[in-house]
Amino acid sequence: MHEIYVPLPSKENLSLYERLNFDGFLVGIKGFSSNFNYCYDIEELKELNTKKKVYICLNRLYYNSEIDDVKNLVKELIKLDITGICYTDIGVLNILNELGFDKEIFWISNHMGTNSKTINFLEKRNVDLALLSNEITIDEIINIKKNTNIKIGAKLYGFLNMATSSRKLITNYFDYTDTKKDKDKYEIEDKVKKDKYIIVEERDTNFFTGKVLNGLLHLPRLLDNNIDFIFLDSYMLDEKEFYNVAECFVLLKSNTNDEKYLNDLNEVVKTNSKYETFDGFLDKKTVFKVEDYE
Amino acid sequence: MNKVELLAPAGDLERLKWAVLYGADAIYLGGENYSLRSNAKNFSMKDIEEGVKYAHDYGVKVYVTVNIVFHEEDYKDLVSYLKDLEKNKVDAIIASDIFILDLLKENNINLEFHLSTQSSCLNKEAVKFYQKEGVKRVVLARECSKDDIKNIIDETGIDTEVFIHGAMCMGYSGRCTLSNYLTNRDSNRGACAQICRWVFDLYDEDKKINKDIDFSFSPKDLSLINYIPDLIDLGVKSFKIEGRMKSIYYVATLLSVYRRVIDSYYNGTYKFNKNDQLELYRCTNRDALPQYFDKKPGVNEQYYIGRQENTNQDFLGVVLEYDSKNKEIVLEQRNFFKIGDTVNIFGPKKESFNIEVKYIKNESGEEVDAARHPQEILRIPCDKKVDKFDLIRINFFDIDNK
Repeated sequence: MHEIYVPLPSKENLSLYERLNFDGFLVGIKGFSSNFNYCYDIEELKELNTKKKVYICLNRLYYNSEIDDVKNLVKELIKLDITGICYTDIGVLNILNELGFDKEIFWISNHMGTNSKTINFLEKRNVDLALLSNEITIDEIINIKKNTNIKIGAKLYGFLNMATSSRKLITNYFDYTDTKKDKDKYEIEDKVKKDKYIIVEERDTNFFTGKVLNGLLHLPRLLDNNIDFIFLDSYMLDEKEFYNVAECFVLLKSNTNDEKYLNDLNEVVKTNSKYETFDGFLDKKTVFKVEDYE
Repeated sequence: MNKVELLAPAGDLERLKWAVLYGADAIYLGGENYSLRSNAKNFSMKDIEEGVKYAHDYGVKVYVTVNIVFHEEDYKDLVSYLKDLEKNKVDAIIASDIFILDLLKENNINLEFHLSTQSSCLNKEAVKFYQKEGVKRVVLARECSKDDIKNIIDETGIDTEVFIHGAMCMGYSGRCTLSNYLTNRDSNRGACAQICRWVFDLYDEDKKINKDIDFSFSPKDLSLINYIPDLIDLGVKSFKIEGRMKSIYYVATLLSVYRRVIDSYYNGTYKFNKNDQLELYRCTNRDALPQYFDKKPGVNEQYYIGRQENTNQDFLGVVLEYDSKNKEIVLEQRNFFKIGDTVNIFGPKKESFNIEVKYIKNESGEEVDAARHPQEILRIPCDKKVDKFDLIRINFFDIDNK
């Protein structure tokens, strides 16, 4: 099937994105989603006119004090002409199942989608799609795909979320230093390696890589192994440049055997990436036993 | 009324025995695999067997952490491991990866499942999901407030376990992979490099904006010592102390304080005692606050000045025996003390007391002016009988309360 999903862009760019051969949009909803350039409210979603799949993203963890509002929101979303709902907090899955949600349920695993057995568990609880963790290798993605039945996808472009804190970490720092916080997005630099990372304070504080994941060169292998979808993320990126990048992934999908073409497209991706790109963990395993990193 | 459970960490068999002695109702520990302290000593299956037998002899339960987020390569031997835990009469596993629920059912393994805090269970809908799946107990996310805890218990009736003391994660548990990205060490498989204890430069675009104070996001520790009555009244079933890597002194001190406070609440003698806080604070030499329990943490709940976590030298020695004839304590030394010092002695389920060190004798019976050598066997005079495994520490009460 090999579908490509991207975040729903701004209203101004929607017609442009509509023309490109994507398969679906992940949609941020005001107050309930995180890590989107644009979030929409229910009224705007009612007016959304697209032929592509639409998945509404409830991709946060929710406090107990918020969860009744989430439930009420889901009741509203059920009435809309959408393809499905994405969740990260398992409380949302409980709500969807309790309400008899009969559209697609999409797990955005956010670091936790690292094995097939968990996905098979979720399949039995009505989950239809899973976006895997960004901290696993291509080999692991392929193995998970082989051992599961639902639609499996991987993120192949964009900044990678490294951590989420419910603390206002930027505000707290500026309070401590008695200085003025001008914005919600800064960079932090590791004092030893001098690598930079992005820190964004919204409702939560999120940490992101300073480099942008570019998995284009890995796409042919994923397609050969029947990956069901890939997600390309525009968060914190220029929409026009992102469009050009996404177009390369779309083009490559229909011609994966030409190495020169692949490399040419990869150059286009790099040219349109203002930030340095990297492979993330696609080609690098993490370690966890002392003997592994000694 | 069922008494709340006091749940203590154990990094190895020795610390398990100390925790039992100092009043834990239950112990949690990690095996050599599948546990989030992958580079700690941890327990072999033989240790687990021995630990469970020892703990059960004293009516103390044992829970084993199986709380990594599994990768495809990590399943190997998991079923036989779980069967061994069942065979060895472990009382429950603490796990976060939910496929284990199905694995237990499919393999007819009768082990109680406690949901690890790694799952960041924050709300009643999440609890209801796990409850339907057969989860007996939920370790709530440390981000839960008092109101959250109350509402979750009231609405679901599930057994809840709440962290009452110990180090805090900066991020939602399970949702921080800084260690993966900055050091390649997998935080969700037990190799967290504690990046939240690092310091960074802060940039606005290309301009460095931190001057004298580095950017950091290190949280202070958690302590709910002042909220024990509230937590009991909320209906929390288990009070958890963090720290499987910590020392016997840490485990013994925390347990003695919390045991005393919990028991005093049940027997009607509870009253606020600032020395309780002092004991806990001195033990780790870190600030410990209620964090999310009473309000959302702000600037005061974090460290900013590249704080070094130096161990203090409060812990002076372990009582090996009491020589009633000569009225002397035989002890094994841990840190320096000298003649003329006033030291404090505490033990399981007893009031601590002070004595002045009037003389110190070494193993040969010779008097020495100070205890200088770790693990040296020494004698000091004491009119009051003490017990094996009582601990001797600096009398910080008089020092800090002056």
